[in-house]
Amino acid sequence: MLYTVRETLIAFKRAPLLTGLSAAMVGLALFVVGLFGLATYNVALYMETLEERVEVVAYLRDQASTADIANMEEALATLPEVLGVDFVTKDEALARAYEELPEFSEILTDLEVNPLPASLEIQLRPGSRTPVIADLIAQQAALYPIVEEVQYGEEWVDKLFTIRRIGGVTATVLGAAFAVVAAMIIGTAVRIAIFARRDEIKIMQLVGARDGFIHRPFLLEGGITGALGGLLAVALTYTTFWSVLNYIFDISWIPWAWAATGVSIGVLFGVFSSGYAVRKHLREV
Amino acid sequence: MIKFLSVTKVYERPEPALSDVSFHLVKGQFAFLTGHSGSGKSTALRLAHMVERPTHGEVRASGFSSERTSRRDVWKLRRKVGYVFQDFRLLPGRTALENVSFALEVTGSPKKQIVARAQRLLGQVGLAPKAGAYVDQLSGGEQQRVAIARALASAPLLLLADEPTGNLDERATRGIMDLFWEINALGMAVLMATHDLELMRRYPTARVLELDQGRLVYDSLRNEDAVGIRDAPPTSDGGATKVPVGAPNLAQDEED
Repeated sequence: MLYTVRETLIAFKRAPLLTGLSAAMVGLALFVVGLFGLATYNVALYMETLEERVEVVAYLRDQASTADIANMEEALATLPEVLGVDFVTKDEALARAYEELPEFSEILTDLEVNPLPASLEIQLRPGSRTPVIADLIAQQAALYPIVEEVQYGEEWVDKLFTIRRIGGVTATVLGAAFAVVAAMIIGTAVRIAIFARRDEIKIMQLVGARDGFIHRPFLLEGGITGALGGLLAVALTYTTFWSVLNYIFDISWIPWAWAATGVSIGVLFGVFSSGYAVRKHLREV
Repeated sequence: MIKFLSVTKVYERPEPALSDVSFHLVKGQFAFLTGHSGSGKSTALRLAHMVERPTHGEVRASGFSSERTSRRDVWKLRRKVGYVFQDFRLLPGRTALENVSFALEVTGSPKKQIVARAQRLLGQVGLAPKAGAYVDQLSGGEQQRVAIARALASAPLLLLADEPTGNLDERATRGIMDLFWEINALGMAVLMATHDLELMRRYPTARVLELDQGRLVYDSLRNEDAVGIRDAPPTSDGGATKVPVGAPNLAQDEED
């Protein structure tokens, strides 16, 4: 182990520019992955706030009795997909209309009869805010005779999920592409390091060093390069986040677990791409 | 120690580098492997060190067979078979002691013993006073001594040498050859590739194997009169009786 650490440090000392450049290139590639992470995370947060508004509204007939409404409210609230059910009286509906539609306040004031129906607003649990479940709950609600009509903004919910899916696929594909770029950069950097030490490797093979023994300094070197790149990527992503937050608009920082995962992935990429490069080299000599 | 059993090695060229070569070098034997450039000497040594594998036939060295030793296990063979090159292949920028220590370290010698063992090996090749000198500052002969000390690091039973005196002057050559001879006297088999006839004549008791265009065309052990090249030099101008070599049948009694 001492040999591995010493040889790795010697390699860094011998070619600090190479190490620095490799780490910087890996850092930039992972930075792009980080930016996607940041964007995806914030889009997901925004989508969640939008999704919270996915609710099924059952408009009730004027003749509905309080007991029937209470029964229906209770029955719906027990469904596993349902987070809660709110009863909105005709008066509350009118008050909301005043608030939300000030341009119609005059018309609303002149009304002799309140035309707005009472309703049950059914909120769905996170994870159940999908078009399929919303439709299912809507169908269940429509079965009650006291219900006049059920609405849940079908088109809107559908669009929301399409956007979310496109966003997810784009982030995954682009993130994976840049992750591959990072792996290739580390592999190339290690190959250069191997080339610089090819004589040493040949002598090690000549005198009977085990392959694992020859591999280890390169694996450690790749791992450290990956870690440095990962840390650089986190620093760059954080700087971007900070600048956007302070000068452009309000966004949230990704969970630190994501950042830690990113650095760990950098390390793993470093180790695997070095392992691949050094194994390939040893097979060739 | 080394057994070549009908070994053929073909590279990309149509004509094989080695063609149906069979011989057996036993424990403690000293043999010269000679022939013109491109006759297959280096190929034979590389096959014995399993840097390459035969296209046909089998090579056995220090108990390892080319047919049964996986690439993963070649390191075990390398620790039993030392190798010395014409161009020394030392690590520049390191001292003689560091070069020998490196071999000991990478083959897993106990840390505390490395320096003492490296010094002892350098003493064995007559370089103890120059242990601390950088190899770049040493003469060719001295550098080759360091390379030999390194090859002896894992106490092999067989030493392969590819033109080890090719880059040396007359005096250094004599010194290196004497060193090989001493090492051989300690019981280590030596197979040395060389095309230096004068050199071979100075060691008449050594066995001579001659390759020509990949074929083994002469083996001094198969010549009834000769045990060495003093009586039967393996050259056309030296009046040698060249005996075509078929299946190996001499000195075959000793196993690897």
